[in-house]
Amino acid sequence: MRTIRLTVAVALLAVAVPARANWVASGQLLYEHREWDQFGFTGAITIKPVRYADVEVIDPTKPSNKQNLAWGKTDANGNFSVSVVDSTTRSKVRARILSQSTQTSDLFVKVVTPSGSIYAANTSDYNNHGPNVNVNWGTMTAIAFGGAEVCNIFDLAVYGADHIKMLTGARPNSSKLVTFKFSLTGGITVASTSGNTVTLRDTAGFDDTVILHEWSHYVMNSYSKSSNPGGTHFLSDCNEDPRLAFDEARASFFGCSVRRANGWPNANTYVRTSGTSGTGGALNTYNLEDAEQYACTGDTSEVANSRAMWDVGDSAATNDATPGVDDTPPDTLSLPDLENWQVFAGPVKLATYVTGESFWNGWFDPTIANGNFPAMKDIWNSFTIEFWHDASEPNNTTATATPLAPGGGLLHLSYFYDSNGDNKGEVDTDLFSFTAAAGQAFTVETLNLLSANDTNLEILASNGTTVLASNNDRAAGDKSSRIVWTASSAGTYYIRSKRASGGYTIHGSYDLQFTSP
Amino acid sequence: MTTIGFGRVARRVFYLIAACSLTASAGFATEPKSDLALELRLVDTVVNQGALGRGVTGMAKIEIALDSLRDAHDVVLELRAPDGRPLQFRSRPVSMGPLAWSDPRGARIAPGSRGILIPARGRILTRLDVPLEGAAIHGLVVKAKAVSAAEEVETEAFVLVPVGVPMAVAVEDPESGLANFTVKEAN
Repeated sequence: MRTIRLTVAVALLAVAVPARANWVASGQLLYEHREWDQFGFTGAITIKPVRYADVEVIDPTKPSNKQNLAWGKTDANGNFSVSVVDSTTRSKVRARILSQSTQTSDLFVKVVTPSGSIYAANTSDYNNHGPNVNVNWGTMTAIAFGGAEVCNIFDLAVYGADHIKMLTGARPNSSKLVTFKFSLTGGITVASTSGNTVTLRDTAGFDDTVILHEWSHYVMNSYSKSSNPGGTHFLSDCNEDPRLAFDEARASFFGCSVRRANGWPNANTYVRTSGTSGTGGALNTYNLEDAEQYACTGDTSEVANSRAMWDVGDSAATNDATPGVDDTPPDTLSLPDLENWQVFAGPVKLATYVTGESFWNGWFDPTIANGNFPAMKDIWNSFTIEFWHDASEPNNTTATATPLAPGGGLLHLSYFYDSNGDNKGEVDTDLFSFTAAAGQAFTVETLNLLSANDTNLEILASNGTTVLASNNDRAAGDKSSRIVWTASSAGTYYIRSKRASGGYTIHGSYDLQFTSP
Repeated sequence: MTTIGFGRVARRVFYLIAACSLTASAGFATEPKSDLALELRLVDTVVNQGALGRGVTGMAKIEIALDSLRDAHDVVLELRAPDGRPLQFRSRPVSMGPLAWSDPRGARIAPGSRGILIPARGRILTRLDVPLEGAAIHGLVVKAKAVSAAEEVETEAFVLVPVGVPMAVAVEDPESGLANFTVKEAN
């Protein structure tokens, strides 16, 4: 009986008291970061710590499934100190730092090869290790073109997770584990994102803004919603699909906003390089504060959308090429990133199709009510993205139709109606009245369509309902409209202008021209 | 009935495979491109270990894809070293000779009065054989130039080519599921 009690006591003690470490494995892992500016790589190398990466102490002489001696992780300075409970004398011990974060309870990041293998930075082997001998591998550095790229991607993902924590109070949880696929040996020619998986171009290991752009797609897939149809797209394309234009704009803006929030240099600049081992190599340098570069109007440009969202939070404090200046277009807004985030994670998530309209209407949605309409209008207007009443509103009915005389020149209009004055838009129909003499000919047409607009024109009889003439598309591939019509009798008639059915948006601006020879 | 020679079939198959491999990410959110954009992929490297006192040489086989937002013409490729100088082989600039361009469906594109054309939002493909000298991991820059909207546009891409040495920056171990790379340790 006494023996049994003693055995139980020993067993309980073994459970209750953590085993005492026999030795400690320590060291520090740093990595080379290739510095860049708007021209590409500068030639400068800075040394950065590999933060919060898993550390595994192993006996490399054993089979893979029996190698593990202890787990740990690196700290904010790349240091690790792992207690090892192991009383065996071993011919070799080794530490390896892994591109995953399982040892950090609230961090869910990994970088893998295209086939799914976790990267491992290995120390040298310590030979003939006695059971009580501490091993300090000292400072180790992952070098460029030799694994530093993996460390850089991992580190940016950690910064990204902390940016999410700043916005939401917590890093992305386990259901939002982000996986970066990256090859150190070539084969991936374009960076892309699907769901929680980011696949990086094999030459993008130091393209920090590209990495953060793609990471931002993952964030929006996880916390917001995307309707991006994907595919090849170009910065200077002013007529992108509005779903693609907004999602790509949001990714560029949000990725750069991580840099801005951390006070990093060139926060305002998206740079894609060729990845050359020499200096330079910038292929796209896209300045979020330069409205003249890749100048486009309307919300079918990823550049215009991204600059508008960027300017909401840009201030004189941004670490950009013009420190101390709140850049073009001048505005009065310098709002926290949380204001944009609330829109992404709130109303945008509920949109049927996510476009620039979703952001604008989400901003003014009563659940968010971010306000600042005059300043928001100033910013969006500088890109001719016009999500507000035109001067002819309200003219949605024949009773409120705007009188129109032929030959008055171009009338600038938008399909945007705001019935309750909250600045959130609704479907709009524009009606105009005119008087005609019997036999008088008229031409009415829409021109200069912007923001994925697609017009439909009708001429209505004096009763305001009978359609006398109509046109949807002026020609194949041209979504503007044109009607040539002759009045059979004198009277008052109406022009009804509305969005054509279909498409992914409800707003959009255009010019109306009404003439009579 | 049309009889297509084996070489023609093989060429079409190659261009189809190349088009698929270089557009595998279509449908995903992808990174934005410049007006003229070049993708390249190292397909293979043939190594000649050298004889009669000559050093190791290699032939890098590279797939090229060029995208253009607008119509572009007079497409020209150049080979450069990472320092920007023209690529040399045995002390002479490497000549590419005439290139066989194709559209993504494998149809041959013949040069016209304005050289090789890329249609707006189109893609053309070719393949390069690039001679390299010396056992090393070579950095190779392919630069593309064209005329678009009456202006010269250019772009480039970079690739590392191992000749006579392993590209062993990360060795995948199927047993452990890890891709191991070494780090520089301070003495």
